[in-house]
Amino acid sequence: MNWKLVPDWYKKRCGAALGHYEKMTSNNNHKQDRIAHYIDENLSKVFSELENDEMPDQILDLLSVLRAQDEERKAKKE
Amino acid sequence: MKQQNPRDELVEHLPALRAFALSLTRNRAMADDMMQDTLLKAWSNIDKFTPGTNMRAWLFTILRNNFYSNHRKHRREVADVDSIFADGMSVKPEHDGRLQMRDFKTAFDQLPAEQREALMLVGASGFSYDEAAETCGVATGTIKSRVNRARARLTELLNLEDDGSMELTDEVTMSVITNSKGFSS
Repeated sequence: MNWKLVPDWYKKRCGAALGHYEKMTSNNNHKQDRIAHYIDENLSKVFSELENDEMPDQILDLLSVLRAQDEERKAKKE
Repeated sequence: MKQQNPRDELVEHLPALRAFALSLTRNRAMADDMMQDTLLKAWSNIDKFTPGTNMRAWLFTILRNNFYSNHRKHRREVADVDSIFADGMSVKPEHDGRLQMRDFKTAFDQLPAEQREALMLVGASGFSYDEAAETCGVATGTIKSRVNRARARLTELLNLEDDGSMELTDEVTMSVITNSKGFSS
């Protein structure tokens, strides 16, 4: 297309539409970033709450048994 | 420099491992059984761990494999759910922030296990897409797509496209902020 032949009013209209589209895309990207940030922030809170949940006795007991076995093995080697 | 005993390092990761187990199973008893199995396996196979690599990813992989092999055997994930994320919700919410967190947990609870784990790994545990992909035994693109689908689903469930829904501040705090702005001007 030869743009020299395109009337100015049409160029302006295309430019405005393009500008509007770019603005919309940029707003959408900004919104998506905000949503992703909001989700990740909440996820971190949930994960941190779960991390702070008290470790159950059965795990702590198992850990003690495993450590005692290690010590026993070490002592035998020495 | 003396290197840390990998078993001591393992113990440091237990709270995160349990958080991951709880987020996968959504059931305390099941999560703790899985934790026990994972701890036993990791402890007895510690010589297979390469020092200097990502211990957390290694542990999460063992736990995850355990979860899916059990899940395949029993196919009863839904029946076993005790809504771990809904814990403490019987208390009357005091403000909007808590209410929104409750809504978030309820929505998160509704995601399929593979999307929950992808989001937990990337969004909460600080795993890169590559690390998460390795942990889950899938391609990096698959993890990206799971994370995107999970975020899209949460956006839909929580109406996040609506601008007002992402406000974390409750009405009382908002009124204080508004009033203080009025005083300062």
